[in-house]
Amino acid sequence: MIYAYWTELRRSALRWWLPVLVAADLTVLYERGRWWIGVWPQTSVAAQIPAFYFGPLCAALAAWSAGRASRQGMDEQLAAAARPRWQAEGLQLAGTASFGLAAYLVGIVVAAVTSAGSAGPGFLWPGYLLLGATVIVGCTAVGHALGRWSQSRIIAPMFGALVCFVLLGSLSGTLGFMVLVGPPDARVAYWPLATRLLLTVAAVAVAVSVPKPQLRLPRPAHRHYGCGQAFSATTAVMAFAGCLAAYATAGPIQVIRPMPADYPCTDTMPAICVWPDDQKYLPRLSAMASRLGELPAGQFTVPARFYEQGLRGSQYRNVDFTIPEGAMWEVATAISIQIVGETFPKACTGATDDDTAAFFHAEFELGTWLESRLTGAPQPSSVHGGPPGVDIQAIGRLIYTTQESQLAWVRQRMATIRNTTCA
Amino acid sequence: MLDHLRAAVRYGRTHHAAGYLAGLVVLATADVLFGSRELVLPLADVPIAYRHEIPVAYAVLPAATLHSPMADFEQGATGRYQHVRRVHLILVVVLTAAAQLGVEAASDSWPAGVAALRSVLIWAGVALLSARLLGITLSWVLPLVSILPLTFLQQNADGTDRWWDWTRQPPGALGCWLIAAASLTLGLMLFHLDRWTPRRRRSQPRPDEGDSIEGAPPGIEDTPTSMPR
Repeated sequence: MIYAYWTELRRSALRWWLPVLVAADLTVLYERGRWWIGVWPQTSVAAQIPAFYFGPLCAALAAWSAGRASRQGMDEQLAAAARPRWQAEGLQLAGTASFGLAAYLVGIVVAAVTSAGSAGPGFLWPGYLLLGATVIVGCTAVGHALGRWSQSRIIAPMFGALVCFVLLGSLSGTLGFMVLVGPPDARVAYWPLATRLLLTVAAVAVAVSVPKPQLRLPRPAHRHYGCGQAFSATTAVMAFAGCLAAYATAGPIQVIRPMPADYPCTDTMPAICVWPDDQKYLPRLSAMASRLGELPAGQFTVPARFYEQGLRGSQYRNVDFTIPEGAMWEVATAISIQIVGETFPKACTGATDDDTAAFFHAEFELGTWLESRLTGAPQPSSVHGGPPGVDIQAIGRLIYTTQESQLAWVRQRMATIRNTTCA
Repeated sequence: MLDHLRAAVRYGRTHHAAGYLAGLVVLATADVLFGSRELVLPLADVPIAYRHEIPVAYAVLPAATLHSPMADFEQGATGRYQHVRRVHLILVVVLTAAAQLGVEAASDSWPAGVAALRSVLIWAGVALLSARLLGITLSWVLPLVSILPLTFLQQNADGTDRWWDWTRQPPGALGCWLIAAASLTLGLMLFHLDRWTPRRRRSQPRPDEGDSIEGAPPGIEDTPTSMPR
C-alpha cells in the first residue's frame, strides 16, 4: 500500500507544481499584510488563508488526475483488479491532497517561525489550521469525484475549480468553510469544526467509493457482482447527507472566547489593557496613552482604563476597542468615542434638526481631533471615509498648531455641545 | 453547399461542438445567477464580483475545442485542413467573446460587457499559451493560476487597481487592451506555429533522416523545405 502511495506521489500531476504552490502560499502569506506577525490566532488564520487558493487548484488537478483511468482506458482493468477499486482511488486522492497539504504545511511552518520572535504566550491555534486542511482535502475530493464521473478532460477540472471557487469565495461568510480574521476574543467552535471534518471525510468517502453513474442498468445475470460496491456507495452517500445535515445545523464556526483571568495593561495613566495574545501592541498603546496624557487638562473626562474587546462583560462589547489588522487608528477611534461619551454623558436630540446637526457635527469634530491627537498624526490615507461633514484635512493640520489655538478650537466645539437645547 | 455543411457538422462533432455550446449555456447561466455576487476575499478592500473572474471559464472553451479524439489522424491532413482549423479558432474566439459580451451587457451593462470581452480575449491567449506548453487538454491551467495575482495582488498601496488588472480596469484602459493584443497575438502565433516545428521535431528527430511519413507536417505547401521525401 505504502509503495503504491509513493508511486502516486512520484507520478502525481502536481509534482512539478509543488514549488509553485509553496510560492503561492508565501505570496498570500506575506504580500498583502504582515500585521498578523506576532499574534498567534491571527498567524493561524493567515496561515489558513492560502487554502482558499489551494482548494480550487487542488480540485482542478484532482479532477484531471482522476480522469486518467478513463483517459487511458483503464476502467475495466481497475474494476477487475484484485484490490477493491476504492483503494486505488483513495491512494490517488491521497496523493493529490498530499501535495496541497505539503505546501500548506510549509506555509504554516514559515508563519510560525516568523511569529515566534515577537509573539505573546501560546502557539499556533490548531482549530484554524485544521479548517484550512479540511478545505484542501474537501476540494480535492470534490474535484476527484467530478473527474471520476465525467468523461471530459476540460469541463471536469474547470467545473471543479469553479464549484470550489463559488463555495469558498462567495459564501464563505455564511458557509463558514474559511475564517478571514482571527481576533483574540474569538475561538473556533469545536462541534462546527468537527462537523466540517466529518463532512470532508464523507466527501472523500463518496469520491472514492461512488463509481461513474451508468445510465444502462447491469443485466440481471451480473447482479450478484459488485453488491459490495453498491452498498459502500450508498453508505457513503447517506453518510455524506448526514454530515451535511449536521454541518448545516452546527452553527457558526467562530464563537466568543471566555474572558481571560489575567491580561497585560500598559503601566500608564490611563491604562490600556489588551489580550495576552495582543501583547506586541503594548509599546504602541503605551505611546498612545502618554499622548492621551498630553491633552489639555480639565477639558475631558477620561476613563481610568480602556479595554480590548472581550476582556470584560458582554455589555461592553460595543464600547471596547479592537485592533483590526493592527490599525492603531481604529483603537484611537474607539477610545475617542469613549472619551467623548464620558465627557458628555447626556444623550441629546436637538430641539430642531439644525440643533441636532450642529451637536453631532461638534461631537464628530472633537472625536476626529482626539483620534489625530492619540495617534499623533492625521488620519492615514489607508483609512477611507470618516464621520460625515468633518474636514479631516483641516483637523490634520490643526494638531500641529500650538496647544492654545487647539484649546480655543476645542472650547468652541464644547460650547456648541453644551449650549444645544435638547428636546 | 450541402456537402460543405455536412463536413462542417462532422468537423464540429469531433471538436466538441455540443460540449462547447453546453459550456456556453452553463457559463451564461452561472454568469446571470452569480455574476453580481461578491467574492469574500481575505484582504481585498474593494469588492470583487464574480463577473470579473467568470470570463476565465469562457476563455478556456475556444482552446478546449481544438482538442479532437482524431488528433493523430488530423496530423496527416493537408493544408486545406490548416485553413479550416484557423477559421475554426477565429470563429470560436469571436463567438465566445460575443456571447460573453451579450450576457454581460444583458445582465449588467455595456461597459461591463466590453471589459468582460477584453478579459475573454486576454485569457483566450493565455489558454492557447497553456495549451501549447502543457497540452491542449491542460489549456485551463495557466488561466486558472492567473486568478491568484488578479484577486490578490491587484491593488496598489493606495487602494487603486493596478494598471494590469484587466478584470477591474475600466473598458477604455489602454494598458489592458495592449495586454489583450499581446496575449492574443502570442496565442495565435503559437497556435499557428504549432503545426510545424514541434511536431516535426517530435516525430522526426533528425530532419535529414526523414523517413517517417506518419508525422509529416501538414501545411506543406507553405513550407516546401519540409516536404516529406
